[in-house]
Amino acid sequence: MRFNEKELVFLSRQPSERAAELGMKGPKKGDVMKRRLVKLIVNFLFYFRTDEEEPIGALLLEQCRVEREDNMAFSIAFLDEAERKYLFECDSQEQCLEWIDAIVKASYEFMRKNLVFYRTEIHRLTGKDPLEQYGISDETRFQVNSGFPPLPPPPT
Amino acid sequence: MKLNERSVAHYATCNSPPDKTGFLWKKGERNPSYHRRWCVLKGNMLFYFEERESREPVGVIVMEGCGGRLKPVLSGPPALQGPQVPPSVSPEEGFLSLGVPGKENGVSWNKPAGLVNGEGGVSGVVWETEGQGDSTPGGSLESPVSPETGCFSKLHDWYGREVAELRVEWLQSQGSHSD
Repeated sequence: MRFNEKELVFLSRQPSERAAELGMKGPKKGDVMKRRLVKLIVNFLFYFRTDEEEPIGALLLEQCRVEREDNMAFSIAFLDEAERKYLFECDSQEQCLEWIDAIVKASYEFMRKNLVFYRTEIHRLTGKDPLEQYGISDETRFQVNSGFPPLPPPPT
Repeated sequence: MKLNERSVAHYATCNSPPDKTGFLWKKGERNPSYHRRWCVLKGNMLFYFEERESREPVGVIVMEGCGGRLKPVLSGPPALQGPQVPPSVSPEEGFLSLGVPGKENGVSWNKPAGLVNGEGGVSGVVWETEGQGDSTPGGSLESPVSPETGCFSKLHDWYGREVAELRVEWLQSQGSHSD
């Protein structure tokens, strides 16, 4: 599958939501834990060698599950291959929880679910559809009853 | 640079609702000719497939960061020339052009109703579902957080800059002739 690599590299240099040097281990059999600079930018997790400008790679954080592995480690698995896990080691429990929270909130899926949640709440409280003025209120993807999993709590 | 391509391809075809689907004419950087592709927009990812039934996308264009540079171009595949103006989507100048195949899908891709772009959030391009021929400036559709090409004054500024540049170029060429 082709992708616009140049623009993705450009994106990796943009301001990040979170960035830190973490331990990272890929999902392949021989993979070992290595120190990487990890940057969360929009819905991509970029990882770099600590002495290089160009990222080694990026993970698109859609259709994935983030799980806490132990006190200071978490994993990311993608729903198409749930047994393949990327493992990350943090320096503290607090840092680990912050990363998990940020990654959970990074996906477009999450943003849309929030949009639907607030749309419903605002409609309930005011009797008006806040999306009406944007001409997208009839878009099926913003409908409440479209078979989504339960709504997440609003972000704090 | 690596990308978790298998999972990205899975995302393209999984049952999460797309923002927009339809046939578009695509012209990339390398290949100078237009190809008709089945396109699926999910958030900031624009996937393109050989056919509607294809199980794997041929490719994906990460749209993040291109919002302000989504602009119409004045050329397109032969089938589209005429009054229609196919839009171009260019994360980087000249990366690709997309044309809307006439009445076939009956829905316009070239006028995004707005871009959902929270601070550090995902940009979701929301496409207006009106006919191709409608050229009303989309004032009421203006997103509060992001510019869009449906707004006449922005288009005016955009093309105004190009015209100004061309004029400078022309004036210089006139000057060099008279020397």
